[in-house]
This record gives sequence, C-alpha cells and structure tokens, in this order.
Amino acid sequence: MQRALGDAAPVASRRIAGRNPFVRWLSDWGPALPIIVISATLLILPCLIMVRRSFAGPEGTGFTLDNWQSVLASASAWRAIGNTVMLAATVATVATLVGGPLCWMLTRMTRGWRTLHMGLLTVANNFSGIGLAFGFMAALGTYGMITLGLRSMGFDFTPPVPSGFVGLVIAYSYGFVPMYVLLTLPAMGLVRQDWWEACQCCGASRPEFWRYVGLPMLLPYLGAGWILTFTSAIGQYALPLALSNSSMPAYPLITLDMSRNMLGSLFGSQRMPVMAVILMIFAIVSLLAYRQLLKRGAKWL
Amino acid sequence: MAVKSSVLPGRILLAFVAAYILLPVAATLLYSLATVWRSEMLPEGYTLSHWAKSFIDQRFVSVLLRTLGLAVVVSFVTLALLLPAVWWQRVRNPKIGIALQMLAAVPFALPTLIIGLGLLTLTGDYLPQAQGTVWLLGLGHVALAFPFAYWALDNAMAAANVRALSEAASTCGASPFATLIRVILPNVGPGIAMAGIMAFGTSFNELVLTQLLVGSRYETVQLYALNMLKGADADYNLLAVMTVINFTITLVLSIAMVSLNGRTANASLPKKAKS
Amino acid sequence: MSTPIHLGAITKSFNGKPALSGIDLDIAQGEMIALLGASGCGKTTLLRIIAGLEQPSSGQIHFGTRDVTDLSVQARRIGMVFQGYALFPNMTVRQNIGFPLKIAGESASAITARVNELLEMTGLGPRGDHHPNQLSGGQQQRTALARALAPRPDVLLLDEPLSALDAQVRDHLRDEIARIQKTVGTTTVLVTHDQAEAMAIADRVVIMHEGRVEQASRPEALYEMPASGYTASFIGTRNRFDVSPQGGELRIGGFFRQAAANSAAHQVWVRAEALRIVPAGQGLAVTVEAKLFQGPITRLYLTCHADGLSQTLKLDAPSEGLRGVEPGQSLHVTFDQESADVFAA
Repeated sequence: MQRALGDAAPVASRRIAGRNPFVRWLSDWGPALPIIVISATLLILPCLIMVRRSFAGPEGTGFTLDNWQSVLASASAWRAIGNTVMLAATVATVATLVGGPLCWMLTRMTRGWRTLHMGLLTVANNFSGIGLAFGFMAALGTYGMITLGLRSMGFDFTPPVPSGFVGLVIAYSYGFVPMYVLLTLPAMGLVRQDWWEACQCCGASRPEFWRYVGLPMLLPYLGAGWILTFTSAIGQYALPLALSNSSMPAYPLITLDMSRNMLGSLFGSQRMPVMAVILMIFAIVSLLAYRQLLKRGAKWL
Repeated sequence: MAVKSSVLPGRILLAFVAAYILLPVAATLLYSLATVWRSEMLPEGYTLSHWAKSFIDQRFVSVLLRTLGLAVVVSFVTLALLLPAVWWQRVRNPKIGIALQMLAAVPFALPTLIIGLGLLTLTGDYLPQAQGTVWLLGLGHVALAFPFAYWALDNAMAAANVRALSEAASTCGASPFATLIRVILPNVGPGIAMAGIMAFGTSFNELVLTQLLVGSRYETVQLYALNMLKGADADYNLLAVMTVINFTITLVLSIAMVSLNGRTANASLPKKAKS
Repeated sequence: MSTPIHLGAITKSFNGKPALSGIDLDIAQGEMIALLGASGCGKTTLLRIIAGLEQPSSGQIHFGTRDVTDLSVQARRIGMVFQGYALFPNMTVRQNIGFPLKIAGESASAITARVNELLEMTGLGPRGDHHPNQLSGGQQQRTALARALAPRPDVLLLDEPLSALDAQVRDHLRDEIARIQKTVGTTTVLVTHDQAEAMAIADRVVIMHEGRVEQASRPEALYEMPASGYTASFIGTRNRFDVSPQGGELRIGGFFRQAAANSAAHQVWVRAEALRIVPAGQGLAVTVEAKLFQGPITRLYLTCHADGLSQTLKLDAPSEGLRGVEPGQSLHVTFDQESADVFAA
C-alpha cells in the first residue's frame, strides 16, 4: 500500500516540486489552503479577539482585569450565568431521559418504522430558530392551538410564558431531544443481542440485564450526549431571542445579555467580551469532558 | 427472544414524541390558512388569501429569493473550497485532515453568537469597509457550514476508496486535476450532494450572523420572521406562510439527507469492485 | 443435576418457511452430542430452541421428567457458550463467571469459592481480574465456558464454540472441552459445522440436513456406515459414482453389486483412502491429474474415462507408497466390495 502510493502519486510532483522546501510544502498543502485560511480567519480570529478584548480597556487597548472584576461582581451577570446553566442542564436531562429510551426503541424497530421516525427526528432537529419559535406560539401561545383546544374542552389552562423557564425548556426540547437521539443512536449498536441472551442463560431478567450490563456499557455515551446537548443549549441565541418579547427578558441568559450589551452600546461595552469568554470556557470544558467520556466508553471494547 | 420494546409504555412515548414534533407544525399550517382563529381548537374558517397575498408582497418574495440565492452560492463555494482539500487529504497529505478537524470543532462547540460578535469587533478594528457587506456574511456562512460538509465529504471519500481510485488514475496517466474531475467527482456523487445540502441548510436557516453582520440591509427568511415576530405591525398569518415554506424546505432537505444516507452506504460497494 | 433431554416432534418455521420439520431426539444423561451440518440446516435453531431463546412452532422439550417447553430461558437451568462468547465487557473474568451466581442470590463467599474452582478447572487462574478485551480468543472461550458451568446447569449448550479460534488453539481447546465435560458430567449439546471437531469430541454425532435429522450415530459408525448419500457426501472425503444398473447389476471396474430392484440410478460412495492402485489390466484405468503432498498422506487427483464414467477421483494413500507417481502417468485403481456404500437414488 505504502509503496504503491509512493510510486504512483509523487511521479508528477517530483518534477514540479524538486527539492525546494517551500514548493514542497505548497504542493502538500496547496489545495487545502483556501478553506483553511478562510475558516481559520472567520472562526479562530473572532475568538482570539474576544479573549483579548476581555482584558482590554475601554479603547480596546492596554491590559486590565477591570472587565472581569466588574462582571464577577455583577449580580445580573451571575443571574444570567446561573440561568443559562440551569436551563441547559434541564434541557440536556430531559433530552437524555426521553431521547435515551427513544434511541433504544429506534434500533429495535422494523426498517420502515425506523425510517419514518428518523425522518421526523431529522426534520425536528433541523427545524430551528424563529420558525420553531413561531410554531411554539401557534401551538402553546395565548391563542395557540393546544391552549384554545384545552380551554374549549373546559380546562382552565394557562400556557407557560414562552420566555420563562418552563416555556424555554419546552421549546428547546423540540430541537434537542431529536439532536440527542441522532447523536446517541450509533452507540446503541454497541449493545449486542447476544449479551441479552447470555444474561437470560445466566438467569437474569430484563431489568437485571440493564442494571448490570446494558447501562454500564451505555452510560459513557449517554453522558457524552448529555454534555453535547448541554454545550449546545448554552449557546442558543435565536430561539430565546424570538421567544422573549421585550428588552427585559423574563429569564435572562448569557447570550441575550451579550447581544444586549453589544447592540445597546456598541463601543465601550466591556461586559460582552467577558461573557463571551465565559461561554468559551464552558464550551472547552464540555468538549474535554466529552472526549474523556468517549474514551471511557471505548475502554472495554 | 429479541429485546423487543413494542410494549405499551414504549408506544406511548413514541406517540407523544410524534405529537410533540407534529403539533407546532400543524398549528402553523392552520394559521397560514385560517380566517379567524380566536376561541376554538380549530380555526373558524379557511382561506388561501394569505398565501395569495404573500406571493404578491414585494418584501416577502425578495426575502425568499435572497435567502435561496445566498444558500445556493454558499453551498457551491463550500464545495469548491472543500473538495480539493478533502481529496488532497485522502491521496497526499493526511495532516490536512487533522487541521480541518480541529477547525471543524469550532462552530460545532462554540456558540455562533461569539463568532458573530467577534467578527463584528474584528472588522470594526481592522477592516471597516467589510462591515455590513454580503460578502462577509457569505464567507461567514461558508465557515459555519464547512464542518458538516466536511464530514459528509470525508465519509464519502473514505467509502469510495478514493486513494485506490487516484492511484489507478495516475497509472493511466491522468493529471491530478483530470483525476479529480473525471474519476473522483463521479464516484462520490451522493457524498457531494449530502455536503451541498448540509451547507445549503446551514445558510438557509442561519440567523445570528445575518442579524449581527448585515442586519435589515439583507433580510433573509429567518431575519424576516424575527422582525415580523417582534414588529408592532406583525402580520401573523403572513409569518405563518413564511414559516410553512421554511419548514417545507427543511423537510425536503431532511428527506434528501435521510435517503442519501441510505444511498451512500449501498453505493460504495459496487464502486469499490469497479476500481 | 445433569439430566437426559427428550425432544419430541419439534418443528419450527420462520415466516412460513420451515426451518425444522419434526425433530425427535433423545440425549442420555451426561452424554455429549454434536449437531453437525452445513449452514442453514437448522442446527443452531434447534440449539436455541433447547435453550429457550426460540419457541418451537410445535413439539415438546423435556429435561428429564421436567417439561420445559413453555419455560423461560431463565427457568430452564441451562448453561450456554455463544459463538462470539457474549462475555460482558464491563465485567472482569471473575465477575463474568460469578454473574449467574450473583443473579441467583448466592453469598459472596460461595461465589468466590465457586469462581476459584472454575478458574482452576479452566486454567484461567492468573487472568481472573482481567477484562475480556485483555484476553486472547482462547481465554475468552474458557471464560465463556466457565460462566456457563458456574451455576451447575442441568444442560450445557455450545454454539460453534471453537469457530472463532486459530487452528492450533482450536485443537487444544477442543480436547479441553471434552475433558471438562467428562469431569463435570453435564449433558451437553454442541453445534458445529466442522466434522473433525464433531467426531473428535462427541459421544454421538447428529447429522442435520434441511431441518431433519439425517443420521444420529457414534462417530465411528457414521464414518464407516453412512446411512444416506447425504451423510456419505458430508463425512470424510469420498468419491461418488453415479451408476445405472445393467441386467440388475452395478459394475465399476472390478466392483460388482446387485442393484436395488426398483431404481434406475444408484450412488456408489467410496472413501478416498479406500481406492487402491493395482497392476494394469485390473480395475479402472485413470490418469494422474495432480499430486498433493500433505505430510504422511498424499492425495492424487485422477481423471477417469472408462466404464461409461467421466469424472475426477480423489485417492488418499501413505506418501511413501506414492513416491514414484507423477502427474500425467496412467494408473489402474480399484476398491474393496465392503468399502463401498450404495444408495438407490
């Protein structure tokens, strides 16, 4: 394999490349340079400048810890952070509790049913943002279909405030339960049918199978799904923005706080970069935890 | 026997999830067709007038065309930039894969809001003339879409055994460019389609960068919906029509993805045999 | 403890397709039988029905006097070794072996004692605290066997237990399994597609074909007296002659036998090692096509165009005796009357 490659591909390049290291480097990386340069510029630089700005003075220069001190001393900042973590953790937990069993059921379905359900979940996963917010209002708003339906049946039903905690959890779950399922589904293939058969031969019931074999094997992957959902939910912006109906949201979140700071007073706002870096820290820690969990899951395989 | 879960609690959960997914969609669809809907479970009457009205509304039509146009351009640019890169990674320099994977993790893990606000700050400091341009927005969409497109392409190229194909082509005397155009592209067709759809969908449903980078100067479907939802003179029926269109496009893309997913898996076998 | 097994008229069909059609089989207490057949013959289905992992469409299964037909797997008191072992990856060797005892609610000290005993018996002692992914294939196989035996089951079921192993390990473990089975004396059913394995290990071999029992005999009897053309084709390396009787007699070379009265076509089966080289003028005239040296035995591929036959024959003989034979050479071969098995088609 290695030899064949060495013989075939570089015949042409040897003529072009010669021994000049720069030309050689260019022929190794050339076709990939445009996308690397563009994505690095548009993805990495914005993060770096946020880190820089979180330590910069009002003019965007110098070095100061004032921004951090003032954010960490601000009750409203802490409330936004706490709210965000609380919301994301709740959504991730709902996604795990509903999505986990759902995943397992999907793997046990006949092909036709599975395709149908996968289609539904893919749509729900992709149907995001403002459309989802409107759909939510149309179903569960003050004049939503479910609200009106329950009322006309005689129930005294008050729908949850869309921008409140419960409303946000319901709306977030719409996209995140399917996302959880799509992320975790491949892991379900790890649970082999013959483990269950072997368990039966050992005298174990189905709950015992899950307790001693199934869940211990899946737990790292379910946890990894929780982490990814959590991370993704923390950074949500479009959906809560659409659901919050005033400049003072009922349930302040980090992302809403950031955009309000940025758009409200474009220059001299030193709180936004700090909040951005806090979000980045969440993301990096989650990603590390995610990789650790996957490693843990692969340990027995 | 098999670990079945056709038991009652399982069915209830499935029905509940299906209802959860379908109800908001159904409600939105009814909203786009309703005359008056204030008190009953279902609207008091139905009409197509909202749909008719929306298609003669100048703003509505241009929002739709603008978003579609941007999404098409973004998906083509993403493919044009990514295809040579992934192919070169597979046949020549695996390190490209490491670099691309690291970059791909960024939009996946980090909120788009950070990227958007960062870009705003960045251009404000160093490139003021780029601020508010569609070009910046387009490139931003390419950067956001590239991870999904990359995974789709990389999987397709792995499945089609692109390395062996390229080796065979070069022993036939084909230049690298001819190899890419005549041998590789035809063999990773479904993967390219998948990547294109992913990029299209990302751009079409993107709100954060659009709102932050260009604002109402370039109103897209999502931005239009947000402005409608927030606006004082909101026409909710028109908004419902736009949402149904948005949902239908998402639905078509999702169906294409699910069916392409099945195809790529099956299609790779005979291709391998051919090489 | 160990019990006899009685299978009465077991049938099974999958989506209307019959997989087993009327299996009757009695297995004595402590006996080890091998279900042998090509893939798709129903042997694995039958094993899974005995285990309770599949339900028969009709028929009865008794373990001793106990009717277990409608019992769950858990209640049957069986031990089973799966083809891929199905070890629990999250448990150590000890935990795997002790798992059935733990489920049965035995005390920690009783479990430890029994696990130690099994580690000793299977030679796994130093591997007790390893996880399955740290074990070789042979060690995984031993662990699976120990786990199956741990609760002292009434019946031990082995589903292709050696098929995933290298040839050398396989031979060694085959003998180990036989030894351990004789030690514990548990009635055992083994499924295999490898006739050498079945012959070497089992007290009785059950040949299965298209959902039926073709023959159930001691290995020697199976080899020497196949009861049907299928068994003959399946066991050992044999030559098949399709012969039509002439004047009520079957003749091939020097061989002669009375034909069955009412059949036009007959199969005559002759084992490869029963063919002998004879001086010219006797037997069948053949040409040596190829010569394959296989250590003590050498195999000749011979083409035969005589007596209305046109086919390739296989001859196995001690290598010494074939030293001078070369491809292209003409020979004459024959076989003894009693070494041929004749079946009317």
